[in-house]
Amino acid sequence: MSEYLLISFKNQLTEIERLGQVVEGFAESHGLPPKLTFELNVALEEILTNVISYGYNDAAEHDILLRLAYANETVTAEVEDGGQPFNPLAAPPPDTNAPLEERRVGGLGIHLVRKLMDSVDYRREEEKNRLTMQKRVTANPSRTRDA
Amino acid sequence: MEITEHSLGADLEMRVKGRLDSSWADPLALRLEETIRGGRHRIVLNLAEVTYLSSAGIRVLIKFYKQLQGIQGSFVISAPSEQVKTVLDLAGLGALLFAGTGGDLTPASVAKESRHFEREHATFEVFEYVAGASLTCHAIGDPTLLQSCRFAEEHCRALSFPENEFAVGLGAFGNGFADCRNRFGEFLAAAGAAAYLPTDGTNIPDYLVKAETFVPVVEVLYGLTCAGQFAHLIRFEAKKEALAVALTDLVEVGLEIAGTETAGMVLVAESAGLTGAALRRSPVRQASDPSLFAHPQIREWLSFTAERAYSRSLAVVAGVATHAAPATLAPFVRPLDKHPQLAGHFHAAAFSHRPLKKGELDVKTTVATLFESEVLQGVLHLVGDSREIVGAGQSEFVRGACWVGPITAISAERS
Repeated sequence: MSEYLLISFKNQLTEIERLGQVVEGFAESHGLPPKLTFELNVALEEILTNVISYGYNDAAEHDILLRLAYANETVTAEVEDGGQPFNPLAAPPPDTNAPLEERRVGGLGIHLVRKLMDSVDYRREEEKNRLTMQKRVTANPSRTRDA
Repeated sequence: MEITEHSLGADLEMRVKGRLDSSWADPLALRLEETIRGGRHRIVLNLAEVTYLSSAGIRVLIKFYKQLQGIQGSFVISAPSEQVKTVLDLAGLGALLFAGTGGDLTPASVAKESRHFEREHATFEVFEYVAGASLTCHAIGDPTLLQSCRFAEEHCRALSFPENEFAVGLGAFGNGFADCRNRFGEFLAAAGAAAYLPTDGTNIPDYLVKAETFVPVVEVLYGLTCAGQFAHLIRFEAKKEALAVALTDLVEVGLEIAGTETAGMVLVAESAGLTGAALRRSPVRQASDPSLFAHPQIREWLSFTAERAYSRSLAVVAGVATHAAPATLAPFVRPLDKHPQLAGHFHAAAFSHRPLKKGELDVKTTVATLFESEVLQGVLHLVGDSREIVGAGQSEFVRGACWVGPITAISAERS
């Protein structure tokens, strides 16, 4: 990511609302289509909620970093946290064909992230979890017309 | 987030406006819980103006879909916005939750014949439960020993409580008197489950539930046990939530339906507040007492609910009521408020709230489900006489089920 927006969040669920505003602002400044903005928002909320809810063993305040970049028609988002090592991609996918009575609620968030994004990648580096997601802007009717 | 409600025939439509993310999932869940508690079991959630949905929101949708399905209600989503539809389809839930796509639930099975009547504050529906059934009551031990806290090893006996018995009294879970001596407290047993409040200072209620070969056993100092089947099931509902039904009014109706002077009852009901007392110390004779005659006053050992407690819980109440207590029963019952001829002994176990299915209910399944899936919050002896506690009033219930059986035989001990 050569040029990016860097935002720091605290490990509190109240930060989710601010996340929404950050994503909206970022999308607006780059003229991203509403559909992609929504999808990015959901994916980031899932990741951030997971880190906030399960990432830390103590009650202390921690910083979670979000990097957002837009280049080559592609949005890249990276979430970095210093919480306990956790690879969300290693979790088994939920059975979305099972009857509702048998559905587990866990695993649904990361399932949505995989479905909504083009690529999701996890790395553990320097005692930190780094989750990188990419989504290419494809169907933007207004841009197609302008071109 | 904004939620508005509109009636759609038998259904309640709730229109939600705003974001359904992890910070708004809880407020929506609370609102749905309130609505279901208010007796609405068919809900249409209109999500036309929900611009955002994440898995936190989906969890709420799944939770209430399952909950209403479990009580033969219905929960469907109408007019989903494009964002809602995208996320629910990705989660593989669209087909289940959207209106008209199979999300609607089958109607309740044909109801058994029942009799309806009304009283000042409540409506009642009475089902024949086990035709002609009756209960046998056993008065165990000597409750007067409580006045001076003089229970000792010779007063303690282990009693098991299978599914067809219920009981109230003082007891504990454990292995004999010596093991339990510092924690005897109020207990209640019903439908194969037993709960008690230990007096060892932890103040955390404990419970046992029947399993394949296991039957709950309680070390009992004294108590009333009833064995047999219930003859009737009474469903009741307060006409207005603010004017809940008092325990004594329910007990009067129960005795009337039973048609006998003495009846046994098990109640599972949404509480509007319980008034009662619980022991703070185990009422056993202390070996270290300098004098056996310097007994503490029992009232100093009781903790009363200063105001009604557990007002948002689902309570299991068990006990015996009578209009004319025979000598065997008299020491075990106390007068109930406002009704000079009405006496009884009732204990309650309060659980976290869950809605009750309407219509006919099975006592074993209903009680077992509570023990297995809800949190036991407390056990207390219900006090019917409000003069004992200034201003606290008596226990009241919004709606629930009461299984009643006429007591046709009372004996001093259990064989």
